[in-house]
Formats: sequence, C-alpha cells, structure tokens
Amino acid sequence: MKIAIGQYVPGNSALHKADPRTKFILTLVYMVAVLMSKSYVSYIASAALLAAAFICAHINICKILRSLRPLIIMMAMTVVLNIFFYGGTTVLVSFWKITVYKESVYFALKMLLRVILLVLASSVLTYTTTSVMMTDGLESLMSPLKKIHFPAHEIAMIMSIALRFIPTFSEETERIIKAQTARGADFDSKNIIKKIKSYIPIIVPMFVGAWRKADELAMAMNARCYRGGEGRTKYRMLRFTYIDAVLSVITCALLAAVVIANKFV
Amino acid sequence: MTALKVENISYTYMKKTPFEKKALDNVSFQIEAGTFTGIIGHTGCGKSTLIQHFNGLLRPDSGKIYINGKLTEGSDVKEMRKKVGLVFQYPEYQLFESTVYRDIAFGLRGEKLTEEEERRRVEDAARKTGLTHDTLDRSVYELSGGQKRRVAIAGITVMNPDILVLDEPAAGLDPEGRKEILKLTKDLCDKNGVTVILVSHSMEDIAELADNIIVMNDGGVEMTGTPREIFKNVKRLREICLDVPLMTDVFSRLAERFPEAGIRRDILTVEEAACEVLRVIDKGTACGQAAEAEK
Amino acid sequence: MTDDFIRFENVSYSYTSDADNIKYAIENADLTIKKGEFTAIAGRNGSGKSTLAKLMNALLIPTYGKVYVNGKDTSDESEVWDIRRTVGMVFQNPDSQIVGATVEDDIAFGLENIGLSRDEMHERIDRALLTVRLEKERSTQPHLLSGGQKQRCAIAGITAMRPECIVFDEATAMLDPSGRREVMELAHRLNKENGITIVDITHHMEEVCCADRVILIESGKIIADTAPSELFRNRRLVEEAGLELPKAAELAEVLRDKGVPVRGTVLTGDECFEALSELLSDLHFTGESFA
Repeated sequence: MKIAIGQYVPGNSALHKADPRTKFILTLVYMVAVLMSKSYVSYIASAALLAAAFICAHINICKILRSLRPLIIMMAMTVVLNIFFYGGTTVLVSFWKITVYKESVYFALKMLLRVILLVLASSVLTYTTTSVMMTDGLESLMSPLKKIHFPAHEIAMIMSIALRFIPTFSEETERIIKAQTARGADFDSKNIIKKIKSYIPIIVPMFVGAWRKADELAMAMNARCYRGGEGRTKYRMLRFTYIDAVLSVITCALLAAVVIANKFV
Repeated sequence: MTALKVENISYTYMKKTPFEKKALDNVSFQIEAGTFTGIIGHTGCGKSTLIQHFNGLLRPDSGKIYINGKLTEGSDVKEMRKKVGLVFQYPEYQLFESTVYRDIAFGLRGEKLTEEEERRRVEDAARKTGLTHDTLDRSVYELSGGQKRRVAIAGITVMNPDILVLDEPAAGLDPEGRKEILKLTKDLCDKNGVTVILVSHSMEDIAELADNIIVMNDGGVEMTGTPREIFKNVKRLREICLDVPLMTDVFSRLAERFPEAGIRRDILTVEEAACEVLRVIDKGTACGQAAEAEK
Repeated sequence: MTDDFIRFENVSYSYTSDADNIKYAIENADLTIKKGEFTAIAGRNGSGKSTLAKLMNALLIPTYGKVYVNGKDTSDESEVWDIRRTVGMVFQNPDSQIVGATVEDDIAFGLENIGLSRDEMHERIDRALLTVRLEKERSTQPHLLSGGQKQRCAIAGITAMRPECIVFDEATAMLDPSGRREVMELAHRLNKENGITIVDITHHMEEVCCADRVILIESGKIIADTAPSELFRNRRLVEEAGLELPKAAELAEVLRDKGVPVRGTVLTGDECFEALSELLSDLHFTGESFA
C-alpha cells in the first residue's frame, strides 16, 4: 500500500496513543535539535531517533522513503545550489568556470539530510495523529491565548471542518470535471491563458457549491445548538500519560546531546 | 440499426491497490436506434461506471464499444462525446455561465458556428426541453430547481447527440416536476428520434417509459428484456434488492390467490390494472350467473 | 395548556423585509401539532413547506404571529437553545449536515454544544448508535457511508440530545429507495417506541400515506389538514398542490369512477391487495383451485 505524506495511518502504538499536544511540542523540539546540529554525530543521533519512532509506530521505513518522491526536485535543487554556491577552500574538482569545493559538498549533504529529517519528523506527527486529535490538541495548546481574545476554538473548528470536507469536495470536483467534459470542455490546451480559462466551468460551480454547503452546514450546526466555544464540553479526552513522559525525556535528551556535541565534537 | 453495442467490457477501479474494485465484469448488450432503454440496479451495481463508458469518460480495461455500428477507439473520444450526450445526476450543479443562453451554448464552442447558427441551435434545444424564450436571457441562479435542470439537459441536447444518457434526471424534484422532466425525455425519443437511455431507481417510471430494460447486478448484466418480461421475475428482482412496480406486485399476488380467475401477472400501470379488474369482474359475473343458472 | 406541542398562531414569514414588494413564504398559518403525532407536511417545491419547518425550532422567527414550542415563544431569545434541544431537525443534503470527522464525533458534536459531561456523552452516544443501528460504523468517516447511513448518523446526533420532536426537512429527497426506506423505518420506530413527535416534510406520497395526519401547503397557505385517507379521496386538491395520488389510491379512484365498489381505505399496496381480494371473493372466486 502506498502512503502519502500527511496521511494518517491507523495503529495502536505508543506514538498513536500519546497526547497530540506532546507530539506537537516534541516535534518542534526535535526540529530545533536538527536545525542546531553541526556534526555528523548529531545527525546520526537524530536520524536514529526518527528511525526508532517509525519502528515504534509500525510504519515501514522503505515506504516512508518512497513517499518522499514528490519532494525529489526540491531536494535536488537544495543539493545543486549548495554545491555550486556555498564556496570553500579545498578544491575537489574544477572544470570550465565552475569549482566544486569539498566543504560545499559536505554542506550540501548536511542540508539534504536536514530537509529529509524535518519532513519525516513532521510526518511522524501526521501518520500517528487523527485529524480530530490534531485539532483538539491545537485548540488546547492555543487556549491560553483566549485570554487575549485569540479565537482558539474558532480556528480549531474551522480546521476540523475543513479536514472533514476535503473528501466531499474532491468527489464533487471530480463529478464536475466529468460533467463539463461530457459537455465538450477541453482541459489540455497548450495556451496558458486558454488553459486558465478552461477551468472556469469547474471553479464557478465549485464555489457556488461550497457556498451552498457552507450555508447548509451553518444552518445544521445552529439547529444542533452550536453557539461558539463558550460552555462547550469536549468528548475527546486529552490526558498526559507515562508515554508522554517517556517521549519527552527521550526527545529532550536528543536536544541536550546535540548541544553538548556542538561544544565538544 | 444498432445505436450502441457493448461487447464484453470490464472495468476495475484503482487497479493494483488494496482498494481495487471490479466495477464491471464482462458486460454485453445492444441498444437499437430510436428506442427508450431503462437501466436499473441497486446502488453500487456498476450503472454509473457503465454509462461513463458510453461517451468515453472511462475506457474499458477490456472489451469493445460500438456506436452507430462503428468500433470506438481511445483516440476518438471527442467524436464519441458528440454522438453520446451524458446528463449526470443533479446536473444543475454544473451550470456556471452568466445567462441561460450562454450556458446552453457552452457545448457548441468547439463547432465554430456563425452567430445565427448558434442561436438557432440554442433556441432549438431550449424549445425541446420546454424552456420559454424569455428564460434564455435570465441568470441561471434565478430559476427554480426544475427549470435549472431543463437548462442543464438543454446544454447536452444542444450538441445534437444521437444517444442521450440520463442518470436519475428526476431525482429530488416534486411529483409535478418529475412528470414534466420524464415526459421531456420521452418526447426527445418519440418526437426527435433520439435514442434515450435512462438510469432510474423508480420502477414505476421505467415501467411506464421504457421499451427495453437492462437489469444490472454486481457489475454484470442480470437480464434484459421488455418491462413486461423483466417485471415478471418478482422473486429474482427482490433478491437483487430491486422493487417491481406496485401494480405488478399487487396483481401477481392476486393471481396467486385466485388462480381460477386467470389474472394477468404482467400488469405495469394503473390503467392496465383498471382494465384487468374490469375484465375479471365481467368474467366473474358471467361465471357467477352461470353457476346460479345451473342451480 | 393541553397536549398542544407546537402551536402556530397566525404566522406569516417573509424572507425580505422590503415593504414595497413583500412576498410571504408562509401566510397566516394557524396550526397545532400534538405530542406523539406523526405529521406529514406536503407540497410542491417552493410551496413554503421548508420555511414552515424552520419556524418550528427558531431557525426562522415569524415576521408576524407567534410560534410556541411546549408553550415557549420562539421569538424569545432566552428560550432559543432550549427549543432547539426539544425540536431536532434532519436536513435534505446528507453531505452538508455532518460536522464530525467520524460518526461518533458527529454525534458528540451536539452533546458538546449543550455542555454534557464526558460520561454522559459516552452513554448517550452508545445508546444513539444502537437506536439507528450504526454500531459497526462508530469510527467510520462520514464520506464512506451510504446516503441512508449518513442520514441515520444525522438522526443519531439528534436523538442523543433527547429531543421531544424531530423535523425531517425533506430528509429523504436525495436518497435511493433503500436509503429512503431505512430513514422512514427509523422515523416510525422513533415515533412508536420512543414517543417522539415526528414532522415529515416531503413530496413522496408513500411517506404521506404512512403518517397519522397530512398538512398540504400551496403558495405559503395551508390548504388541507386531514388524514391521508381523506386527502387522497380529493384528487383535484392533491393535483392542485402539485402532488399525485399514490398508485394504489389512484387505482381505487379509477375503479370507483367506473362504478366498481372498492371498499375501505386504499393507500398502500397491501390495502390495494386486500380490497381487490375482497372484491373478487364477492364474485364467487374462492381462492382455491378447481383442480
């Protein structure tokens, strides 16, 4: 089975069970650790921890690496730009007007590793967290901001509704594309302006449909006594457990190790 | 002449993934030009997949499709779409132009017509779908649900297809709207010689309108025949989660209960039912009189 | 107060407040719905029947007149949430009324809104899933459900709030026959077993036949309020409202016009079968084979 980046993969592992808030914060901590890493030792430690996380979540690493395929162009750009423009002192090869330095190759490889680790780290979060948990966690993390009238509940509600309606809209888009194709619409014009124009028959009905749905949904929510975040209770429980403690210790240990390594290695 | 011939077509969704699903399995049938054909089947039986093959929106994994006797290839989908018009469910959701006229004319853009020619075609399509002339300059969004649906159907008929396929054209309309839309499809067939293929969940409508019926079940063709032939198989249709027209049901039960009355089991409509009751009463009265006379 | 549950007192409603070309979607409606009744409201599209429905749980407030639910005035803002808890509503489009990411989260949505405790929610969600028979679909995402299942999920979300009345606002219009049957069976079960008052807005005549009472709307006015068996004897009135007779009733009417004595109420297939059987028995057909 193919896994796409950002998808949720059902499971029952410790990572699946961990509190989404913990996962959010630890993902950030991990990213900081990766960005601070200077030596190869640090990178290896970070990569090892990530690998451990994938094994713990029962997600096949080969499939994960394959899921990076859409990002190949971006990664290649990172490598090429760094190799040619980073500069250095030790010349590795030199041809025509271009000189490649040893340092720039090292640096390019580090950058590549960094991008991969960052992408994979955030995907551990999405692989193991349902959209419901994700929005609940975000709302809870943002709730201290409610004191300064930050609409934490509303933002979380918007996110969860948006996620809920993605499949509905993708089905509808497909249907409208087919319907317009049946009326002789042509989407493979080479001329860019014609191409943009050819999407109008899809975009207009999509917007009209989305508008209508939003209206109907608002009415349905109203009928079910929705009146904003105030006085609202939560069905999904967020609770820190020993799993969260263990995960926190491990991740913070990595950050500490990176800091120490930067000083001594 | 055969308008549409389907030969052993199969189609599988999401091939080579765990979601792989065989939607059509070795489907074959043919439809004569100028006839009205009903396609019935339980939700998920492959009807929608099947009709998308008729105008090349989907290409079969295997099998052949002939339109007007000519084998279609993957390369002539554009030609297919001109010959076969396909009206999806709730087609009013695809309307997008500022006026009714422009929306109907959308399907003609590729044909490079003169302005007069275009106007003639649009007006012709509007007339066939029962839209009044003053509707043409109005905004689509001012119209009622039933009118919007006519506009959407006109947007397909304007391309003058030989075959018109409609998926549940009456869904969501009230009884009056239903009747009008269905009459419109029947008229397109009877008066304009279009070969009409109607997908519907309403056995009553199909029984009343169709010359022939194709019954789909689980990706295959279960049976084909005239409504009278098809709806005789009450038991089998129930097994595959389909109904029979109410009158057929009532009269096949009556025939079972009163075998000596010789009641027809292939009653489809209320008119037929009334005639049958009157006929049986006449016969019954005669029998009764005869019995009394004997005494 | 008697057992009047919903009461309309000379209600008019207009979507525009522009005094010059005011057009009433509902005009001078007087109406009471009793506790435990199963009422069908029928009329052509655009006749105002959905407007009537939305006036019942304060989604719309009358322009003139008053609507009372359990004696509470819907225009009183302090009562609105209580009224909406009492009168739940299932809408037409199954795709745009489910809020939650899974069936159980959606049922929880309404319960969260009224501030229930987590234990209470768990209990009510279990009960609601059982009532609508979606136990197996508990953690299913809404877009993977069939149309009938989606509507049942919406109904579960409402029953969990323990309403006294559920309004079905053309809730079956976009469903296939089996989906429609699922939803209607559930509506009747809720009415009989749980004593929930049902108002079914519809233009499906089969649904009207099974109701205790039918209210016919045309151009914003109530033109009939009677039992289905009575209504379908008046073919002219039914057709005037853009509707049609059920096939069985139509046959009975055609036969009666021709002087055939069809007795009793004939609305459903079963009733039609019974009436015709009786007719044939009278003609000395015994129902036994001569052989």
